[in-house]
Amino acid sequence: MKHNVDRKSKDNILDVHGLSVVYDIGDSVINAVTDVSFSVGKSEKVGLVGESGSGKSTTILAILKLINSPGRITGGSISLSGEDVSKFSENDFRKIRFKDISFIPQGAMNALNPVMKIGEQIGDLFHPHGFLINKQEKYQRIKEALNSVNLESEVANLYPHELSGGMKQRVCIAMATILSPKLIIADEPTSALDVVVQMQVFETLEELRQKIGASVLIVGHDMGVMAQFTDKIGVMYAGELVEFNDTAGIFNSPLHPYTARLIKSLPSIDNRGDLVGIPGIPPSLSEPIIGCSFAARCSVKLDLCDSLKPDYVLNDSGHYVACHLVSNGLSKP
Amino acid sequence: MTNLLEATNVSKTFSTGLIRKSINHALTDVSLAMGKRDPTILAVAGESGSGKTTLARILLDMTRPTSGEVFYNGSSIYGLSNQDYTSYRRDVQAVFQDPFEVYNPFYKVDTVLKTPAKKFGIGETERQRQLAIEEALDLAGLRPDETLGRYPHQLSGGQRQRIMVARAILIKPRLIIADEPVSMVDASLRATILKTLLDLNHKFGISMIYITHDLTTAFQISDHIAILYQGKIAEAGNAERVIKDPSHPYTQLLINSIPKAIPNAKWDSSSNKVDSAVHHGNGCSFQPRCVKAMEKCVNNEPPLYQIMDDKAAKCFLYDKLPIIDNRDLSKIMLKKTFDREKFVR
Repeated sequence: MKHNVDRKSKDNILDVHGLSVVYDIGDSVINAVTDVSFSVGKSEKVGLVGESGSGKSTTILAILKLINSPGRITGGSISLSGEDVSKFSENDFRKIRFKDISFIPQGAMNALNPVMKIGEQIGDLFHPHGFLINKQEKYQRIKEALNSVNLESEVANLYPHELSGGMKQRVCIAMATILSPKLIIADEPTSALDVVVQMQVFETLEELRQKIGASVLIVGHDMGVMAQFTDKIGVMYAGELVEFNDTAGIFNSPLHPYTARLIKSLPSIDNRGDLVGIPGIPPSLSEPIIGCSFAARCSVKLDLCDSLKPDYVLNDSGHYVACHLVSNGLSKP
Repeated sequence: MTNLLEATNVSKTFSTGLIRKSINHALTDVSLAMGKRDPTILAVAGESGSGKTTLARILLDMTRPTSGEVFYNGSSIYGLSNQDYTSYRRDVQAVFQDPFEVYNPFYKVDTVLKTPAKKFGIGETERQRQLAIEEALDLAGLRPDETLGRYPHQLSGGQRQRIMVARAILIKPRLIIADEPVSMVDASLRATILKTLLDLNHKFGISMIYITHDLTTAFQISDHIAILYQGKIAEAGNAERVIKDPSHPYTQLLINSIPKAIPNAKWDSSSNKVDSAVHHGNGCSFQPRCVKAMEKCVNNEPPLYQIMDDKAAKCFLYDKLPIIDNRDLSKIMLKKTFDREKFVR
């Protein structure tokens, strides 16, 4: 995919440019992420959506420098506020984790240390990041952090197993915001929670995010959550970013046929409607994809889609899409 | 007319702890029925811990209830003759949540289809069984040549879940109990699998109990919805009325919490009251979280009130309306409520 998408700028909190990640499994190479570029602006909430195996989680693991063998980054750059962090050593990156870039994991159930009290786990964040504060001040900060996510101060003295799933996820949010990072990355933060708790968790996250003015990059497959929470959405398919636009645009005027079909397949609570899925399955990532990765499932494909990878088409408002229908003027960006 | 499958006043308690026993009421006094005349789809919805999976396990005779009974064709399933028990086993089939854990990785997927076909005498020869299997796979939206002869790890999650659907239809059951069949499947496949279930109901007259935490998909395919809260039915009745005009404050909260895939329809948290307090009193179990709770809700448990012909809710807000017994409630949910013709093609 050729890139005419270069929005690198000092004003962006995060710039991912041409990122590719592979996993070496036995003799084969799985192309998990191929040539992905996008940016997250200041105070912006960006969502990455896609099915399992589309590369969305791998993308954020790469940003967090958490790709370990058998995974390997084969290309691209990742900049945080204009500074290329992909070249950072593990030690240097450790200093910015939680301080500049924090993470809310998917399984809050397993993310906390089961043999450490909640307060101690939160308190552990201060020292490595140069916050040399005394015991009393530390206790005060921990108390404030717990209160900020609507938990009582006493939770500091509990072990993770004594908390419900929603409470554990709140602890993770408290940890992700306590050092006021510029960017919070969240991987399906509420997929294990019930809808009521999910709404509460997102309200808490949004309240805190506004207070510290952070940007959020969130990964998920629940299009409802994405519609409610994000400002912009990137749609991933078979390791590629096929469309990127503001949230209203993605839902109201999707350009890529995959995005359009995905939106159409969502059941609604307002009307009983036709249930239309997308026939077929995504291509295997262990073989190079010739042509457009969605061509095999696309109902409106052209002949050239099977043989030629589409370039990105970009319009002024930062909406971009990789589809021959758009680049040939058959549907307009 | 006797019902195909009926649970009457079923309760299940689990006790934990050796010295200080604590008792967990997973399910309290639930009745529901699936009739013979109309093949209907009943959704049982609730959050985790609401007792919905316990209910499924009781209906499938994988767990015995602490009290109450399950009837198949009018006789208790706990006293069936071997022959009748086999026909219950054939008539009532299950599709489970996790399409990864139900397979033995050492066997080809053919095994999960051939074993029940043999057991329940589908076809007389190997060849007939093979044809029946291929037909079932086809109905579930799979191509037999791409599926048979493979190992589970060679298939995607959606394909594996559809094999489970194929296995359920191969046996030509009267009722499929599907416990969260699409919660682990990607959005693009979810609609396809739900449509397959609706098709089976319409074309082959197979009734369905669809157990889910997702009210949106429940609304899409079911005639009736029963909302469970902490093991009790909070509201139940015609799906359209439960979703469009929810009566119980818990149902209202659930529906308002659904994140709509419409960017400008924002979440409404007005019916939400954060309270982590676990309920200990004798009153309504939803009372600690209820924005409309009244004094009497603390110590008195509300009965089911009949809100409309085909809907009831367990809430004192409706205490001017007639009380309905939960077995009568299960009877008003035996008819189809919407025309499938429009949705299956």
